[in-house]
Amino acid sequence: MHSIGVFVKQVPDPSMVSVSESGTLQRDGVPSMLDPFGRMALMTALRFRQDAGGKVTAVTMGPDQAEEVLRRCLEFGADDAVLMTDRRFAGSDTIATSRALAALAKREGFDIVFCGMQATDGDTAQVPPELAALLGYGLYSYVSAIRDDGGIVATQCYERYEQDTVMELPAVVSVCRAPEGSPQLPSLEDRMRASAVPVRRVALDDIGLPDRMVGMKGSATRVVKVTAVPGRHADTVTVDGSDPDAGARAVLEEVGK
Amino acid sequence: MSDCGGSCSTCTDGECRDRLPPGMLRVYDLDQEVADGILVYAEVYKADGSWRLHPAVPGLVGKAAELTTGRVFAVIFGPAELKPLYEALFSYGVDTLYHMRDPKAVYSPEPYADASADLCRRVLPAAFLLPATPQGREVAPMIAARLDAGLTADCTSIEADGRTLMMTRPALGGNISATIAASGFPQMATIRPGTFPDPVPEAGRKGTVVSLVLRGSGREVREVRAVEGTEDVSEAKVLISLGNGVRRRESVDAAFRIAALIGATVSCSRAMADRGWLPHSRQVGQSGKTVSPDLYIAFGISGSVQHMAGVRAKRIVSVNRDPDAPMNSSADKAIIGDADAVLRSMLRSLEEGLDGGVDLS
Repeated sequence: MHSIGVFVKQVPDPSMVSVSESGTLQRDGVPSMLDPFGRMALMTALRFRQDAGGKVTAVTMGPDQAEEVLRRCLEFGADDAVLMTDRRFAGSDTIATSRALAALAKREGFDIVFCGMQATDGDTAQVPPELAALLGYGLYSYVSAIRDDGGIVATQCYERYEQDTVMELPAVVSVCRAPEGSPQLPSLEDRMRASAVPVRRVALDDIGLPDRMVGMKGSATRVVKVTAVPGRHADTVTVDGSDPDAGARAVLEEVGK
Repeated sequence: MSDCGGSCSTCTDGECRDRLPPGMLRVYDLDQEVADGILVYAEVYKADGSWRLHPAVPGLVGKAAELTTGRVFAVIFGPAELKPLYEALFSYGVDTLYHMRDPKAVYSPEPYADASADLCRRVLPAAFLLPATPQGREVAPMIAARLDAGLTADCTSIEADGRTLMMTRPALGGNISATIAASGFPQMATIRPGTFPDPVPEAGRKGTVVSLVLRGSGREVREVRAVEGTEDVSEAKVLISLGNGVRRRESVDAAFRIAALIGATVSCSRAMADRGWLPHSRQVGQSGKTVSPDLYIAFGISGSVQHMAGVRAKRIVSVNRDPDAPMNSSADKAIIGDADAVLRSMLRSLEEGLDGGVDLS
């Protein structure tokens, strides 16, 4: 029986965030969603449970409304859900976040932890390796598939090569692809079942970390400033390309052909 | 008290150590135990039987040399066969090179992170820069966790403000850029390949090599397979980039043939990679690569903020049916037309040119 943890994140839909003309970020009314990489991690964890047995616990850290993404995970088939919520977590950078997640993973006794390889809001990809380092678990990054082949074998995708690595537990797995045949939507039965499962709430004191280890105080980086990125603007020359040959000529003259 | 950070030879009582940690000093002790400066992770890879520096490395070394008046350190992992790379690293500006001898030559995050963290404790660099490659992005956070160091991922610019590095990175799908500083030392950052230009190599420049033995064993790797598309889009001077507006599968082949004829490289947007028509390694944008070509030719790419976050082109040409596509307003030349049809016509025109352009009229 494996104790399987899945760490997910609630993120604003990045395609809906816009920058106003005055250069400020418009986030009002932007819908939140389960981070797509976290969703891949969930799907991989559910597949692992199907093959190896165990219980899947979905975990997120965030404000009250982050419960929505845990509900989503339960609907897709997670057995249990934990919302780590505490004002003192606010302002945590990746290392402070990883400390809190690692403390929870210890408390829950996870022997395998799945994360998305990055989240679409921060894109740092730092939490899985930091989590592995803090827990002393093996790290298996950029995993696209896991199979049982005389041991658990993970396919890892690096830039110029892929490798099949024998996984040893306990482990932290960062996932870059959902298993083939993963459901797009939860089934009605799963949704019914999920509605009966409570989301457990965990605060800083429950995981036994001192204040100074989390939040702004526990962070090793600080944000000095944030600026909205203006788009690239050029004095555009517009060419009518309704005749493809004219369009092709307009491109080819750029490369001196 | 001089502002030596407690690591220079004029510091007698070490009183300033807490207030001014080591970093980019004008005066520094040549004793290696207390040197400062910047450490660079010189990632290598093997291709066609020989070891090469990752193309992101020269730019990192050049930036390190520009930021510090102290020394530039580099760490390199691998077998004795890496020796031919020493000269190149010195020519780009490395003063002291730590070669972690890994006879098995199998990258594994835990022993590499252990050795890098130990090296930081020994060298006490003010900053540690790594390429934001899959390897760098994996090993850097493990090192940071071991050292309790602040790490900023995927930086697109670094500036020194006294001893503090101001590291800027895109976030929220490229909608914002955040400037981040680390509160301790070493100040760590991974840098997007293609961010800094390669420095002009100084032939014959000398440096010191320190060889160390890598401790700890790696994991059991059953099989390693090369991934198709090892052409590096972040290094290309001319890119033909394909997006969602490319509807015909044969346009991908056309793009590769055109690229071969004009000396360009094929890249794509996320839509194309998600469709599986091109590998993720060719994807440009926030969740892909940053490119800085002289010319970026976008075929059927709408130009979302997430995509544009990876485009730092000198000149952009857009071919798009939709006159209101954001890409068109970012482009220097916008051709309002069908991406598939224009690609087909370009290929025909170039291949006719190859035949000697026989005029039958």
